[in-house]
Amino acid sequence: MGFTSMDDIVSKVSEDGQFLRIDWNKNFLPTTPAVAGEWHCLVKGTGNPATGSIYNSGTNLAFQAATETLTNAGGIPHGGNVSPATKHILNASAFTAAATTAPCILMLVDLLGWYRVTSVTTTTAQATDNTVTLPRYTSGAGVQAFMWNTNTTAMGAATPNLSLGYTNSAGTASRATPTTLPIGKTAAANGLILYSGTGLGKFGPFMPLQSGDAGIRSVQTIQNSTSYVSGEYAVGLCKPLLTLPITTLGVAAERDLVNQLPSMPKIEDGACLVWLMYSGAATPVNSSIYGHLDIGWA
Amino acid sequence: MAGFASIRDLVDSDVDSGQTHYATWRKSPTQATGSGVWFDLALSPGNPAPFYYASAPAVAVPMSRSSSGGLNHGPSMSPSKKFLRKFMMMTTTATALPMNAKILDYLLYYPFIDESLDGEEQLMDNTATLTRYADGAGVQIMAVVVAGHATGLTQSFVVSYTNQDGVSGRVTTPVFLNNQFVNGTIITTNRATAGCAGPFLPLQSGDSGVRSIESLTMTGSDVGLMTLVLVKPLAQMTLRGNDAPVEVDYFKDFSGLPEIKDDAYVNMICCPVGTLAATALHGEITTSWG
Repeated sequence: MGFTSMDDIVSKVSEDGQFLRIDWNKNFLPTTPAVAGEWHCLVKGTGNPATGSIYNSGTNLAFQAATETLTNAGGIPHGGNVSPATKHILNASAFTAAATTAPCILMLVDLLGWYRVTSVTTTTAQATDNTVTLPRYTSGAGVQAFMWNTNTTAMGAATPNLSLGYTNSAGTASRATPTTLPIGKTAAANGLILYSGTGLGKFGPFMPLQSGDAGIRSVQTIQNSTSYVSGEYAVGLCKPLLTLPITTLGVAAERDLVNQLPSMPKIEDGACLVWLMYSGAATPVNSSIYGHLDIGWA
Repeated sequence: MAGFASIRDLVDSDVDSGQTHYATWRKSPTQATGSGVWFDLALSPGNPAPFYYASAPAVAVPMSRSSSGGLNHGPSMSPSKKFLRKFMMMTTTATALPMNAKILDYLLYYPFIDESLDGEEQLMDNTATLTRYADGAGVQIMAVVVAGHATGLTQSFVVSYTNQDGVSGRVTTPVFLNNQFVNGTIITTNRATAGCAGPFLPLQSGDSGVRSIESLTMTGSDVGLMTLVLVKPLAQMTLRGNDAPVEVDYFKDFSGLPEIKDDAYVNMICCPVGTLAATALHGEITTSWG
């Protein structure tokens, strides 16, 4: 399924009503301003959708799947399942009027699930529980991992190397984060992608993969090389869908996704749509960001 | 056969197979620069971390992602080929704009060449050779300030090199030093100085690239040190204003996809129209492989 032509898009959208406009508002995290160069996961910011509060619940190191309808997951509602049709993003926008929030880059991801890590003082590679598997993109193709603080309180004072052992999208096990490991930030704040920022050992937004790998099917081990002292974090698995750079306060960043290559990112049934954000400046707490998604299906 | 056989193949590789890599970058030059003088962003802080070309003088050192860093274009993908798909750059500071920029594969460098040795041929150590573009086709020479000179404008230099066909003893056109002294300046560029050139040294007639550098000879002396970097230009763009990013899709906009070799050290040079100091540049780099 999907759109067969430009005529088909016009027909489906204008005659058949297979179209939905979603307006969203997400605020930056409420606890600590961002440092320029950092990435954050905004799911715990306030706004519409409301704060995703589920990410620090559940069993330590067990994979939990995220969906559109999962209570307190904080994903953008996109109208429910349309199978056997497929749903696509046609246009997207974002803007902010909050001082020093621009420049920034927003990335919309389908958050597939997460491993909660509360045993942050353990310094060996910790085995995960993969009883639950990926709910979408089940092969892992294009699926990326990011590690972020899911707690209102900051992580402890430490700068551990961070690494994963995983199975790639070809089903090959025992893949590993490459030698130059990401370094977690000391006292990483609520929402921070732990190893993002500037300088040596900083990556953004995703964990680097082993040579030749195009995605992650599952994570077998999670390690912080030294104790993170306190707090908790999660390893999220997601599929990136689009990015929107915002340069100027009060000016909307708009993306016509019909005319990109590849075009019209697909939203899978049940997708949990979440924003990640790169800060180009010291983003203040609670900075409001607004925008919309135009969605059609066929 | 590595690469993309069709647009369908490119799209399938990206959408179905996830064969794409995305990363953001940030460069925050601190140096005060002038108009029309090219500047090497490899030395600027941010993400990726700066690289200072610090090693034994005049000894060739190959550069790679694994050893030196650079823009994060993802891990090696052999036997597939990796390509630069999209690039974005933006800033909220107007002073440097409009600004041209080039994305380069930095291949090898000869550090700390002395600018005080008038008429003396300074020989390079070529024990190490190019690890990418090994024949030198399309490879250019870039001269970067790593310890500021004092006057410029009246001193020139030539470089003796081996060209892409393996012919040694080839000589660049004499090029004058400019009068911008901060580290990172590409010392041969200045729109207002007669005898300066572009970001790359002008090669001898008929040559299309450089395999290695044998020597450098100054005419006139100055204080200061430069590093000679062998680079392969990959792509370019222009950031016109501070109210919008420049976004380039190299397939749609340029009808071609620059290849990024496995383990390439990729970074940028730029040509501002005013000072880069306090100009934070931000952007994205997206690669695809097939």
